[in-house]
Amino acid sequence: MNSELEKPEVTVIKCWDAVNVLMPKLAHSAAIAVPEKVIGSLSVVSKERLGTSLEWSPWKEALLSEDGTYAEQVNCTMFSTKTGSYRIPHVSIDIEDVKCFKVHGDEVDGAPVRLTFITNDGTSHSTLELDDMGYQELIAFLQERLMIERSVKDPHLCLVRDRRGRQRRQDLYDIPNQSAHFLQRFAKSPVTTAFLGLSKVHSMLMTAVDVLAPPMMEDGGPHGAMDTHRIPDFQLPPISMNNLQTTSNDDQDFEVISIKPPLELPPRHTVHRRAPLTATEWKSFFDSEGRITDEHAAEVKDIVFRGGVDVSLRKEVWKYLLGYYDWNATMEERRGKRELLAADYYRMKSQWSTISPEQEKRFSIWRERKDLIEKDVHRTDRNHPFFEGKSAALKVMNELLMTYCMLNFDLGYVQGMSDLLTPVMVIMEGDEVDTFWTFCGLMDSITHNFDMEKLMKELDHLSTLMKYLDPSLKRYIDANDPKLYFCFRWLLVHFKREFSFEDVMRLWEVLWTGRPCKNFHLLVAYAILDTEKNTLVENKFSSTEILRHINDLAMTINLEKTLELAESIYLQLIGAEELPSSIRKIIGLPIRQESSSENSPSRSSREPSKATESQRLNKTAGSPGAFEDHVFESS
Amino acid sequence: MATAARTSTGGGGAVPSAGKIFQFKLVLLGEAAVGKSSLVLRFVKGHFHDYQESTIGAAFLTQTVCLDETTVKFEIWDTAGQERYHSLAPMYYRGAQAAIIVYDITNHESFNKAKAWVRELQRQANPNIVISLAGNKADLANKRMVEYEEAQSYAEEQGLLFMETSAKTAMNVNDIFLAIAKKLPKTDPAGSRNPGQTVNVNTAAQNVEAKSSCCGGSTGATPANAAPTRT
Repeated sequence: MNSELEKPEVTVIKCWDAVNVLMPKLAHSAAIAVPEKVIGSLSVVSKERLGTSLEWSPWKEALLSEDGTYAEQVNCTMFSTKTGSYRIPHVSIDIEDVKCFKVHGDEVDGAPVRLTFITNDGTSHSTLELDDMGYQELIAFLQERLMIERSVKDPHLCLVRDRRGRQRRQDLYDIPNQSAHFLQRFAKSPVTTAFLGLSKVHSMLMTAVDVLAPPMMEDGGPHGAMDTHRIPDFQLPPISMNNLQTTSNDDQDFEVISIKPPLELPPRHTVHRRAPLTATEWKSFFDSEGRITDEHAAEVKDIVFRGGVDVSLRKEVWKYLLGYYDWNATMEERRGKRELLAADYYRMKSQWSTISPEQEKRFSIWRERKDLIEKDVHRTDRNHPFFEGKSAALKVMNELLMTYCMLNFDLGYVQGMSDLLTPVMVIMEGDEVDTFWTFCGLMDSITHNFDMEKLMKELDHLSTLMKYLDPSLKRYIDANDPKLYFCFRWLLVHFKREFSFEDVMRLWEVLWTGRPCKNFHLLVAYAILDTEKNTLVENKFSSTEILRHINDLAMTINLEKTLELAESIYLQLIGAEELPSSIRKIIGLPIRQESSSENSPSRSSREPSKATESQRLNKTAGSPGAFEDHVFESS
Repeated sequence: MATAARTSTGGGGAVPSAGKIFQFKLVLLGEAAVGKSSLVLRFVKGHFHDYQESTIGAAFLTQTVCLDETTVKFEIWDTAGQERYHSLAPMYYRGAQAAIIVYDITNHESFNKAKAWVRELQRQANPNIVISLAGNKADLANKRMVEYEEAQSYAEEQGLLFMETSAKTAMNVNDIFLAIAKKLPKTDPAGSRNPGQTVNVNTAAQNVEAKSSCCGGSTGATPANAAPTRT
């Protein structure tokens, strides 16, 4: 194969200094720290026969260093030192291929701007940071070639509209002349300008689109993307007249149409998280014999739910959260239990470690598991310092997974388990007995996930929540991937692949509290989807692009914000006037007797519940002891 | 090396021409840890990790290769290999025009599993599916458990494309995709793409790549180094 390609003639049209915002996961080993940013050049280049593209590569001078070297590779520059290496991804985006870009944070005049391009196949490219001037020039340049439209729902999202080849080009060449002033303002202050223009139609569309948007909004006629007097032409389905109220507006040439939302959800309240459980707090919960009363246990869980556990305490607190220690056992009792469990662990370990090669020859199920465990152990979290190199940790990890097979032979080893084991191992500092039994506690809460039917049911629950919380999102998703397979990885290993090691530990300990309700992880999943809704829907992502986008979110999701949002959604649910029994069941609320008739026409005849769920509980979620003690179990 | 090729936009180009773009769905199947993800990452991103983590669920990537007269855009589905996840596989191979069944030349069991996959596809997949067999980890020839001839004669018998590959050294990685691209039928535009999204065969776009055979291979074609960041 011809890999020595002829270089096309390249002309640089424009060039700006731009920083590539790197992520820790680009490291090939844990020993090397990936810098937050690398400076380089963002150029618009015209390539002979290939069209125009945006290209970013690092400045060589910035990579010159005494202790490291760099090497150019396909699509990236590798930077290596004695201790390890990391990848600096280049950016190369065909301008015709830009689907949208996201502007991060608030755009403040004069401040640098970060933006992420997403291309047609759903790929999110490296985030680039430009100074204000460069950003404005870049936007102006893109505006000349692409029809860019601010999302009315998310000011941080800029969508490229209309891909119709020549038609689009002609439109584009006309636009700058017609709307030069607007574009100037857009480049300077895009949020304000776009919103001033769109605010007139915004409130009406928000309601209309939310309630009635068809799953796939097709491009209609020409967009007046930046034209303040035209409305983006979403095709709305016929609106039933009894849902509509129209009011004329005195000074404008449009009517405000409001549509009664199909359900009454209270507004989302902002919730705040707190600092992690401290050592002083933790100590204060023990009585003289080392017990934690039920009341104190509830208090600990409340604190952990809202703030997590201080790193130094994890080794101890996790043993309680994962059921290895009983809250109300004395120190003496815990010691006794540990002895028993240690003996039990070594007994099971000896069961497999004494299988002779002769036995193994005729024990194919066992052999298969053993081989797969060995393969996965060697490729799980290998860039975490704990597992780097050929450490003893790999041997222990192997033994733990083999022993787990003996504890649960029916399940055996399933891919994903090694991912669940590593955080526990790190926290228990490799102690076999402690790690094993806390891991078993974790597995007990999640083991149903490894049964595909049950995992499908989890996805189904998520879909049910979505149907209630955001019917328009549900319709969009249903038209593309109704089974929500793109959330498979999230649920299977409880977001292990989506967050950094540190964040995963925080998320898990929050989930292990069983607060504020059953299946809170589904609300976490929904919160992420809620955050990404605009990107998915307004880009009209298909099933493959949704999967690509969701997979690309890994390591970019803000955990604390997600947890806050998930909790506000929970509060919305329990504040709802009449929560359907399907939802009550998912989040573990008692089901009222008429539950089976919820979807039947007689629904309205049901005696309306005056008290909302939150009133019924008569406590705010923020106060200790607010939650019923839910065991983490699914459906 | 210059990134000489580019991802096709599936219909966005402006200059009319005679070049054609075909989009094909390709699925990778095979036992766990034989190197499916590594093959795709080598093909799409040009790099290789010694400790490539296991695939959970599925990954989706795209890559474009240019032939003399046409451009082929692969939509690649990379799947999880363990038997436990087998029930998800039909969803990924349904509608696929091409499949690469991967085995590990140092593991005979994985070759048996590959044969089972071939049988399953022959029974249940698109009848015109182009199936190829990749004996991966060819760089570990000293640990070889599956002889080249054995796999070769099996492939001939079954009418499969066959190559031994190494994602680690890049040996035959682009070649196997290119061979598939060549073998895929380019006469039936309707069959080359599921409807509903981008244009599947667009005679009015992307001529430049196709005409100039700009990318003899695929290296560097897709700038897919996805590295978004926290907002």
